[in-house]
Amino acid sequence: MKFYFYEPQICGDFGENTVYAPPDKIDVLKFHYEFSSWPQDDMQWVGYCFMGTDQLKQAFEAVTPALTGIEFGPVEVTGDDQEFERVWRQGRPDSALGKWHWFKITGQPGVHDFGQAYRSMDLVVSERVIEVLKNFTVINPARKIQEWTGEIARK
Amino acid sequence: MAEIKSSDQGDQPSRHQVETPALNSPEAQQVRNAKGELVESIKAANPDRSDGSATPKNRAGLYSQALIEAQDRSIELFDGDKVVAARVMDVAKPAPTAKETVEQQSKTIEELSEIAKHNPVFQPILGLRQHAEKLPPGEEKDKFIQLAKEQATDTKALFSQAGSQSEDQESCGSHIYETPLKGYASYPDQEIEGVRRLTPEDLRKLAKAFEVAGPAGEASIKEISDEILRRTGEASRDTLLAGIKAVCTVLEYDRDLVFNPAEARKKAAAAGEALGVLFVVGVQFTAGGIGYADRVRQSGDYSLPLKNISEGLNRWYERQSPADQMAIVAELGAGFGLASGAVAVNKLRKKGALIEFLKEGLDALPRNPEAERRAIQAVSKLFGRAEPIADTGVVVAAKATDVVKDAHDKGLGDHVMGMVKYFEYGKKKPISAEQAAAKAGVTKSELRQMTEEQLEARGLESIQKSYDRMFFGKYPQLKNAGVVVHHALPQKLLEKHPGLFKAKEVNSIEYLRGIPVDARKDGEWVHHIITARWEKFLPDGKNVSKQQILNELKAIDKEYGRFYVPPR
Repeated sequence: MKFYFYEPQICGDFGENTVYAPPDKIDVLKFHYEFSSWPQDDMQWVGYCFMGTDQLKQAFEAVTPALTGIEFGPVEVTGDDQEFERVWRQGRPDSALGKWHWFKITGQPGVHDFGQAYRSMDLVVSERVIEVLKNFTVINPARKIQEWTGEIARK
Repeated sequence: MAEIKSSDQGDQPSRHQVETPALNSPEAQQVRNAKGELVESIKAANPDRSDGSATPKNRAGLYSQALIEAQDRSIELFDGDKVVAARVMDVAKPAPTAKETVEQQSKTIEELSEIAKHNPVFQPILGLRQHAEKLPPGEEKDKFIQLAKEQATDTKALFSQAGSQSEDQESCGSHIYETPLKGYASYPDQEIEGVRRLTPEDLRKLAKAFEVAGPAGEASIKEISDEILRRTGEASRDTLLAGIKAVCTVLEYDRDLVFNPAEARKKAAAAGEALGVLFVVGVQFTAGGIGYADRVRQSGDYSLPLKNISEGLNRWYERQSPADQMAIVAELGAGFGLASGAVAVNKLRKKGALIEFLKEGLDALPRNPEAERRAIQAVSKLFGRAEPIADTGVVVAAKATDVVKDAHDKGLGDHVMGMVKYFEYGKKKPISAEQAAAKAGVTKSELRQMTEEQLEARGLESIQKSYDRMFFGKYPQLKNAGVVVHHALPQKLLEKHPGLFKAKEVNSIEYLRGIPVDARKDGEWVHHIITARWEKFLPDGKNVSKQQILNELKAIDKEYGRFYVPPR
């Protein structure tokens, strides 16, 4: 099976309701994502956390045999009161951000369908995941999806 | 329908038309599949019949007569055995069913009804059509239908309608009967009528009510509105409310310019439109400084005092580049229907001149709804673009100080405080003055008087202006132009690496970039690409130095600076 680096989109940052684990407040216990611009891709990322739309979650869950290395959890999603409200929202007054889920990566790179080394921003996914992603929005996949050849940290 | 003319071509692929250039005279041709009376009627309708011409001059008359007499008949003309001309027949298309015919006719009546609503000239034609509908099927019904069609066509031509239409063509859904009064739907007639019905005393009372802020002011405005509505009666309630709203929109905007600029910015376009409405109605304005309202009351003058709009508008105009000033003037001139060059760009720089120009321009308008609508739109657009307040912290502070005593006495001091932003150490987002005062354990008044060092000692920092006001103060032409104000130094630096940069630096003009919202590279929004790059450069737990950050900033500017507005 082939594996790939996949860099989702990042359109925001941790929101103020994010709860970090002590003592160094890096690992996240409660995830709040605050958009600063409008999302284009179905999967987003910030720090060491990933999240995706409800449709993408359902698509991943529908794969058989089941995809490994991922669990789903709740994420609070808001838009910030700065550029998001000032610019991005203005063109979409009736649009909603939609429902999102925390995509908790529990697998190891190159072993499970979803893999992430501890405190690494690199998400490594199998070709089975890429097959699902082909049916969803990934803007500029040439930059975001690259073949993984076994290294842990990508430059 | 085919022309009995050698050079004509049919324009519908489903119709069949055969001609020969060698056509001589009708007598040389043999008629087939035509009833005799039709041929006779065509011949009789041909004014050129005497010279044997095969091309009747009064084509319209020929067809209408032929149609009236025998609409469903056809004719083919032969030279010997060869078909040389034929009435165009839609051979591929079956004759419409009765249901289709009724539906088509209903559609035409519907269209005529809509047109007649806006143009009374079409009403008799609609009446004729409706009369035809009531007739039983037959020649007389067809005759009236045809007559209505012809009159509609001729009337349309009189109003220079766009689009082509043949005489016997039923509604095809593509005909838009344009009248000179297009754009009726967006003409604020209710607002204009509502303002017209307000008396000078009404205006004076509303202006007075706006001198008081907060719940007391709002209660006063409501009381005055209720009083006006009681006096004018329930029948004109909506109209009066629309007029009161227009006046209040302008007064509120004038007040917000100083005390709540963010709110003023949001309402600028609506305020411009409301101001345009008031100008059109002829409401008098006076632009004065503080205390003017008192003088107005004493003198009995019922003008609406606008303390800030005029001065602020001119100040904004003066800051524009000469090229931008020309563009603004050209746009306003076009909106007011003035000839190019009719307005002197430099003369509008004179104090109060811009708002005077707006008044005079609207006074000089031809009194038709379309001209007034365009002018009101031009004013609205101008206000939407303008940021008619000072752009430097010093001037704002001075202006705020000028009015703060007056404002404080009237309970508006808090609005002044709202302009200053406070940051807590280690947080990227500003907090309110109330929150900052609570954190510092002082009153808001004491907070306002603290030095930077005193604030820092309490874990606080203040900036005089928000980042977006900073940016658009310098580049006002980019406001509302689809530009995202991007923090070149990520705001999250204040949280993840507190102390490396001050909030003042992160939010300073030096580190702000304008990126068009639709700027893309390989389909990806540039804003997102840069955000991703910073996120990877600053992973949680990594130590970085200020210089490393500035180096990365320089590299990003070098790679993406061409997308910025202005570019770097």
